[in-house]
Amino acid sequence: MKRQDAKETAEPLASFKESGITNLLSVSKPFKNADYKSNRRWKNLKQIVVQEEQASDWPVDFPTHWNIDAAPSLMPQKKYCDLTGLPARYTDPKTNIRYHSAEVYQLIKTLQPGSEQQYLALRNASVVLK
Amino acid sequence: MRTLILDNGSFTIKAGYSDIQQPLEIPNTIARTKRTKRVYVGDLIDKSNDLSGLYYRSPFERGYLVHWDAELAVWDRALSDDVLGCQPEETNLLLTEPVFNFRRIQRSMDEMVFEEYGFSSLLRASSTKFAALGSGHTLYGNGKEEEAPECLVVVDVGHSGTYVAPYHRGRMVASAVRRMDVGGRLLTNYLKETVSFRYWDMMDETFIMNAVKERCCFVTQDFYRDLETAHGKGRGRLAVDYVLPDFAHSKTGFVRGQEPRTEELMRDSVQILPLCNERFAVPEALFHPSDVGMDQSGIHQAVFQAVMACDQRLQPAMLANILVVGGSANLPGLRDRLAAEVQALAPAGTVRVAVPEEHKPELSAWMGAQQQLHSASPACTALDQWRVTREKYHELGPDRIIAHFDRFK
Repeated sequence: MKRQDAKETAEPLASFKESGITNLLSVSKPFKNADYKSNRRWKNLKQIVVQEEQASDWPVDFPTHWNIDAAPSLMPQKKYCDLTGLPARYTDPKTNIRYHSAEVYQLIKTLQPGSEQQYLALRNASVVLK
Repeated sequence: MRTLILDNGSFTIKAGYSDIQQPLEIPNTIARTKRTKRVYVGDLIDKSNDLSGLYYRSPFERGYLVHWDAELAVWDRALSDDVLGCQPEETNLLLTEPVFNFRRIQRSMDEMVFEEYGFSSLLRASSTKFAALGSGHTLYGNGKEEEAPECLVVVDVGHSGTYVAPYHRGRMVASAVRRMDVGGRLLTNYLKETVSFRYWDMMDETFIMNAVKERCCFVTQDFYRDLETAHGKGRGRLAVDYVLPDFAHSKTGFVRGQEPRTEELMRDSVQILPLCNERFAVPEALFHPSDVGMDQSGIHQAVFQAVMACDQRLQPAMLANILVVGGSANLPGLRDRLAAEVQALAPAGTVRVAVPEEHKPELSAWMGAQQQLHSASPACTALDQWRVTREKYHELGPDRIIAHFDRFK
């Protein structure tokens, strides 16, 4: 790997002074000092998103990262049994778990308290305390 | 000077010189094994037998390249003599990025390419752009590689999300692009969680569950019919037994009965993962993200929304040229289902959905770029014109280069 060598290929202005060349056009003038090393840490996505949003002054209808999300569906959400994946005809009012038949309901009644939230988390419907 | 095409996907890197037929597919991740605590960069994971409970460190967050320390390690490995044997100073680079990438990320990409590696030149564009350039072959058949259709909708079903990008005369219609946050990763995770509730605890086994998804999952043409079948008499037609790996005789496991050596490999101690409605209920999240509690429309509605956002006169032509690319386009049945669902929304006329058959759909961007470089069409020389050399980068600085690539979409 020649990563270190790559930095040296861009000739800085120092060599120009020594050589005494008068024509500036013949000298490479990189926009950045080749010896400069930034010590910044990479930002995570959340920081990037926030910074870019603050920095941008696009019109509202201009397509950007923030407004290309597909619009929500107008169709009603389908209901499936949280335990078996079969079509759910019933919802347990106590735990909010959707279930397919009385047989599954027997199983719901034996669930440990708290574990119903894990089932609900599967379809992003659990109660999150913040 | 040789040209390296590097399709930097969030799951695999597709990399290879433009003069070869097939690119290499390198996992774009750093994996650490659970038991032996060893670290494997990129493709080195193939050398490991300890694939249970792998801990992954990905350079990507939600499809955007942010963790450069991880990415540099993977790129170093990919460019090394063992894999590609690339000398950056003597190589032109074609690099892909997501649609609507952030300025800051583009800037660091250019910085890495020119300052860290010192590539001779760079051409950076979205992967859908390259897929669109090479769409002629898939849509029109053999011998028409150079004729990209005038109107085209590229649906990129990737690892971290799905992008729908309409193209008109080779240029992206930016105002009509739609994104959906369902991709291969969500499907794998959803399968993993579902299975963990119903059969075995697979929460740590992302690697295995990805293999299970690739081998067992499919997109159903009629969800309710198949759901009925799955718990009725015809269950046997849909149910499969997946034999989980023991890491001694098989690395990723296999479907019982599909492999010739099945009975030989079936030992008393093997663990079997029965799959039935999970096989098609999981990919259904592509069409109904509301099933997993997401407030977004399905892929078919996203395609339709994108087409409707285009100029009215272009809409019929757009609907007739829908190209599905990306790793999750490998799901069997996705093309037919998408065609049927979009047709149901479309007012009239024909809807045509194409998935590349001559190569894997995840290679579409790579193949498109390669075809353009090798064709004699005017578009090819156009690619050369968009290239930015290292000298130019050092002269103009990153902002002008970003503005330059902004016009190439």
